[in-house]
Amino acid sequence: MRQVTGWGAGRAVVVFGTLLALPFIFSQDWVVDIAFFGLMYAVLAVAWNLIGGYAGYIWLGFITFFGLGAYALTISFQHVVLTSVWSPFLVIIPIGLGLAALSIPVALLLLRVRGATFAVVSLAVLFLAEICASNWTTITNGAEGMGMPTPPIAASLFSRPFYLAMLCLLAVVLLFSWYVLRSRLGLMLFAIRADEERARGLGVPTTTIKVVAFAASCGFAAMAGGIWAYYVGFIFPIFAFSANTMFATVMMVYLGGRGTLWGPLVGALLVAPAQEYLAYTLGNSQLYLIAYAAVFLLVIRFLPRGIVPTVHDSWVRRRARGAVGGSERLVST
Amino acid sequence: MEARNVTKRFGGVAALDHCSVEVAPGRVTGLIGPNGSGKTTFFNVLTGYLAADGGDVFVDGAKVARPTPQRLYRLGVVRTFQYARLFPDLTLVEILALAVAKPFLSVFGLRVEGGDRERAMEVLGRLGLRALAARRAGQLSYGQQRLLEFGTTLMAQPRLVLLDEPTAGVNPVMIDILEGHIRRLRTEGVAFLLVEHQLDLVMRLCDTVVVLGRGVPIARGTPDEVSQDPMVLDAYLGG
Amino acid sequence: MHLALYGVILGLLIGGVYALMASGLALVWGVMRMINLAQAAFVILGAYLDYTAYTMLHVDPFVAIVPIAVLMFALGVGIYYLFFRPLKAERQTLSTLVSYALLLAGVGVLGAVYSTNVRFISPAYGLQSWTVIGFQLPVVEVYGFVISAALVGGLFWFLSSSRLGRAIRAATQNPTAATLLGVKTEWVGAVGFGIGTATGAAAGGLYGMIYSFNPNSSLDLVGILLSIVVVGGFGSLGGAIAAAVGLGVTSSLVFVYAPVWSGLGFYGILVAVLLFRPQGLWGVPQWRVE
Repeated sequence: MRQVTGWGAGRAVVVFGTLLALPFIFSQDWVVDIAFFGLMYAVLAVAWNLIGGYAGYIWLGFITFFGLGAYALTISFQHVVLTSVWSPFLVIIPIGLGLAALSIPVALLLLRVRGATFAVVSLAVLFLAEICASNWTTITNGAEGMGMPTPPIAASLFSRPFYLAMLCLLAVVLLFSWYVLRSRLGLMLFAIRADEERARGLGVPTTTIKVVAFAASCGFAAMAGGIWAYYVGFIFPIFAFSANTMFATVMMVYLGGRGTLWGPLVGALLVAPAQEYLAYTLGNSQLYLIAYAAVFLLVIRFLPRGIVPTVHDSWVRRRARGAVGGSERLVST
Repeated sequence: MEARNVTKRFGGVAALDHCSVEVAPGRVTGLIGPNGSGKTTFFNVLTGYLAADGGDVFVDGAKVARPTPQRLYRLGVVRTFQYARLFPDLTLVEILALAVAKPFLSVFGLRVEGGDRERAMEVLGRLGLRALAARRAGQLSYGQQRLLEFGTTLMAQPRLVLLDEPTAGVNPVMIDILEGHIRRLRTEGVAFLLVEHQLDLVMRLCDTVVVLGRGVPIARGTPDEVSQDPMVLDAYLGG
Repeated sequence: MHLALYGVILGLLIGGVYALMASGLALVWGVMRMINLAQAAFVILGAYLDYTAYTMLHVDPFVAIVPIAVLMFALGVGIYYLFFRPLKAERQTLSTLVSYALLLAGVGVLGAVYSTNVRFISPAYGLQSWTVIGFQLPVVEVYGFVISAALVGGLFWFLSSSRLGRAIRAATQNPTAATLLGVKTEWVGAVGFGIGTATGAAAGGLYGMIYSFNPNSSLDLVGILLSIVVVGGFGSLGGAIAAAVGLGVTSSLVFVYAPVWSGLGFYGILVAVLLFRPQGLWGVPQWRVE
């Protein structure tokens, strides 16, 4: 059923091959820049899906850890002159692990509530973090923001190393997501999503399982935040801890298909580049907020399960009609 | 297993008032009583879903401190629910594999390990659901879901099974299957605590019957003794 | 001591306005089991409408609250039928996310219409204050408190005494039974959502006279409103009101001693409540087995 089918591996090779080739085919920096944000949202969406999709916990404080990762990296490079473009990328790994560990007490606090209550309480975490970052000026320099040292790299190729780093992270998080899906952990997360009380009655250690998914998603968000901070070079609390980024991530997961392996990636790669492109051509306006909301409302209304499950099911149905015999499930739901 | 002086209040009302029940291995104990007499509450306390306000739960003579569903599950205390509560998106094999009690680190192992799959197939075979193994639980009929629900208790190598109205909404053929399994497991030393409205099944199957009335056991004994007891008749007709 | 007492009094006054906002949230939770994140956008929309009525139509901002509330009631009902009624599966979490979408859309629309400049509703009496035994009480805040208290009282009366209000309460406590008894729960949901929206907008008019605002103020308010309903306990109207006043006083006191951190007062209490009483101070636990 959910084995590594030739299809699955082939799909991964095609997707990542294309993404890897992209900056070398379209070397204009603005294209790579847009693609970078596509990958960043893909990482966020796939990571959020671990807790939001698999376990069904609408974790709206997720971007807090993106912001914390961004600040952690920026703060640790405050008085450093960069001789190589790569060294900060290595620091991102301990930052991700450390913030994943830090997320555990947060998880234990928040997971005392469930459902819609969990969603809104976790959103409060994001606002709380933004207030702290804006006001704790001795560490974050407050609303004036703080900068990363400039890496030694030619302006025309500036985006490329960041793009490749984000692509690596995407590969790791997708691999992790695939691993969770085919492990007993994933089975338990699905059981929790469907009926947490019943899962407890079958001996599922629900709290521990949820904390594992929660911490993993936070760790990946922190790493994405680190790469982002290094790339944009200067960070502000309102962008590091943004309610808009948060919503965009959730919306992409719902668009692509929550609880699926590829859905979040599909959703992110569809929406994020479009959003960045429109921002380039139209200038940054309030309009994209309205567009976000509109896309989400349309998805909920007309594609409630998201693109990937819907397309997959219609494909299976067509195949079944073509009398090809047993319809094996290639996309894991 | 034994519950001693279990008390549970909702608001000011005592749903269970110093309720003590003992369940011996290899015996089926029936728990009957009119609606609202506290049967389901008692189940929920025994399985760790509700924290009791007073009283203790003992397994093998040892007190269970802070009982939770997971902890009791590890001790071999498993239950079914009154309504079929299953995971509609998971396949039958997956649900049964989930019910296997395993060490924590196994969560990082395969979704369904080979050994668990074989056991699940065996249980499905016994329940006559083998052909549906790869189906999702949501596609089953109600009666089949109840059987699957019972099947999860077989996976856990239980020592005490609490069945909450296992026959409600199940057709007679499936009730026979269920009854056969209960009898077989009883000979293997598994204890049962059965809440059931269908009294003829209770009379047929149970070794001991405990009658609850307003949160306290008002009678206990063999099915015959209990059915003669005037207090029981009074509780059913008057309460 | 004098300063602290002054802080308490000002906190009480603003807490009354928060209570009005939060009572709408509690009502919507009651009929829909959903935290309406868009309530914060409705509040700021109310503030902008009040601002427009005052600056362009020269209506007294306190008077303008009445037609604004009526208008926003209609808007709330429309939004309910358009966005919330169609939801089927996973209603609770999905409607929360839909309200998040509406919140961001609201911020976007307000930004496009009114720009992101900071506004303030300042009628002629806006800066006056009364001196009562040595305390300077701003006229606007006193009026705001009185109006809020009257509206919250009116809401209580409506829910307990009117036929429609009782239907809403019945649907709140037991949707299934209410349906069996002939209460049209969908309709009740629409009315409840409309009233919630109207109270939010009315509170917004008052808010805009006390604080300056721009579209992004909605996001600041979200955190405050969330803390209030979580601390008060979901669906408990009295709890929300008590929590609003309590949190108003707390943050006002924090403001007296550490102005920068006044926004955090709410969150500190929120965390404490989550730790020790996750169902909220006046709430009932949400999860029971069967």
